[in-house]
Amino acid sequence: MKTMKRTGLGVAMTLALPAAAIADDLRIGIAASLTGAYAPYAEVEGARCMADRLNAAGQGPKIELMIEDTRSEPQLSVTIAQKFLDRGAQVVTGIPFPDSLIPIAQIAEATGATVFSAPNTQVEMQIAGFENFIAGAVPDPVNGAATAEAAYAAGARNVVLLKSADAGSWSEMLPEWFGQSFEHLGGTVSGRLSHSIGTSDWSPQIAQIRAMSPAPDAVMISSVLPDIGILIRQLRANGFNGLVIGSDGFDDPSLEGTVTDPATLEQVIFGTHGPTGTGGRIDDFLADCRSKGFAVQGIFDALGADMVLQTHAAAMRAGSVDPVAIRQALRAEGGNPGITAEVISYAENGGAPVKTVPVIGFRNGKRVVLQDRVPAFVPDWR
Amino acid sequence: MTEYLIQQLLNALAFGAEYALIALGLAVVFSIMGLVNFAHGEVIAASAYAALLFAGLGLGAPLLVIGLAIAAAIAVSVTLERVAFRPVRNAPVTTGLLTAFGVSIVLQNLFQLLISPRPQAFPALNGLNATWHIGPWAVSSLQVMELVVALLAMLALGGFLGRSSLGIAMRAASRDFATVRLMGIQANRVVAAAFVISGALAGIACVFILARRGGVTPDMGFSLVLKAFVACVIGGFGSLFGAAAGGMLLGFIEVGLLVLLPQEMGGLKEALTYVIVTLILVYRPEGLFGSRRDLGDKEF
Repeated sequence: MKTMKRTGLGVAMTLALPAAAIADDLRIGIAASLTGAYAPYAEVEGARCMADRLNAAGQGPKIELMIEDTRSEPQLSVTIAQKFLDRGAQVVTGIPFPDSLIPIAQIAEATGATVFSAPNTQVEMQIAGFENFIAGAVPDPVNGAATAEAAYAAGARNVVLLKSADAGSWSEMLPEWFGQSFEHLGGTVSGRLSHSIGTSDWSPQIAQIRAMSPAPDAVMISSVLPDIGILIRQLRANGFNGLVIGSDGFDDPSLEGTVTDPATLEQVIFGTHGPTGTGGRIDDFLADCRSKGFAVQGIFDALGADMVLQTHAAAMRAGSVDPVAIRQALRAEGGNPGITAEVISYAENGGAPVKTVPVIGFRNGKRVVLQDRVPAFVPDWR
Repeated sequence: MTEYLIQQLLNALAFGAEYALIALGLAVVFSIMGLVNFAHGEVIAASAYAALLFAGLGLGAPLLVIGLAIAAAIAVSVTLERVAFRPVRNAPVTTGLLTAFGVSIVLQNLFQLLISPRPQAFPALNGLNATWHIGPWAVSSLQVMELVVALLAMLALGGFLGRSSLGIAMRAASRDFATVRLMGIQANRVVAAAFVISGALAGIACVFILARRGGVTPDMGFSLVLKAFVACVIGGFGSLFGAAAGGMLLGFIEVGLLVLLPQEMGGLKEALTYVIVTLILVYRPEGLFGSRRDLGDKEF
């Protein structure tokens, strides 16, 4: 909590001088997936908590959050975003996938508003190149590259990739980007297997892994819980003692409860957007939010808080709630304060943040940060 | 290679057993009411959340959890019949179908909004999922139990429908409900019995799903019910045996495609599954064990 105040509000307050002139509200419209398939990845509670905190601090423009449920339907998210824009939102967001974000970015151009998708990691939006789009999370290739560095350092040399087309490039290509980085470091990708999101029995894939020669010493997958927890347990039960390597889909508080065995967890590594469960700044923020009655759960709430905190800091830096001025300030040199990292910069990439990528492991059943840096090599994904 | 194929054969049997258990639950209700109960998956999820609640209250012993999960599933199933399906019992089939979808969505949304959209860890039944190494094969205890329980459930259901008076009334009702009522049998009793059986099957399936997943999610039953529906169609929607056989066949198709398809074609697995299902239905439009004349006959 104290650390957060130092780095978050502290930095924001140093930028507060021009804010005295700000009279209008800062309106952020969140077309949120409160229900439906994408509800587990909603950033709403973290955003609400941060807005509440900043409004209570009384510095800069008052934040008005507009939140409506999309039911995880992309078309509905576009309609809701249009409504928010009509109400004067300077920043809007939708479902963190291109079928929602591309049309929202198109309609937002007319008002100059920024589309800020806190949990978006897929490269499609970056490749599409919208000037008014900003993602709160690093692109998947960066995540895969950082995780490859940590996995190689942990001793993995021969990895099998589990891939699925069900969740777009996140589940299909992220393992490949990991593999390219892993091979760049000197490792080998010994095979690729298919899976579906929602798998509750991994026996066929495990039989395929057991039949591989030479036997892989690591498995890499970008998927969600509880699928991942089942995979980890089944691999262990079938005598696989290698590493199980993953992405931000692993970063859910239920991972430990699903796997339960500390020795099995020791073989798990995953890259994410900020360390949770390690007693750091994000945990302090989440605990503070819970104490105030916000139903925050984990890393996606922290990303939602990032979005509000950065937008607010940018408005203060710009001395205006003009949407274009806010976006320019978001992309200014030096970056803005965040919860998932002390400083998050868009000056270099425009639409994707430059920030460190923490890779999490386990010791005695507890999360530890194995590394937290910008990866040295990232596969060419553009 | 032979060892590998036998291993995958065992895996296919386990996949099939899970689909068969859920397909039986769908088929029992369909046989009486002509209702495809797509909310069956949410009965499974409700049962899982009830188990989570009981465990939170200190009732987390595995046997207790199993009993309470099945009891909760029966209670939810019967409640849904009373609250949602009874009012539309005499409405067209499509009304029942839409009602079932509506109930399914409402329950999923309630789980998401009132509990959490994110997975809730539930390790109380993890102990059921041990791996037995028999020679070169690794067999999951859960796979064996699921297969055995699916077979026992089918036999018990067959015995109940063939020998008990209520079971015979249910079979008769599935053929001609009006005549059965004229003979003095209460319609509500017959329909409620179907939902009790369906709920019990959902509860049993829930136990296996929980033991395998170690966690609860709002949509944990929905996709499985869609597959069970496909299994019922393959097997012939009027036949309990067909539902179980369709589930087994679907398991074999899925595992077979997973094993045989090259990885770069892995994304086609679902599509090819449905191509095979379509081919089966082109060959046997009424399903493998259905018949045009007796569509609706539930005899084994």
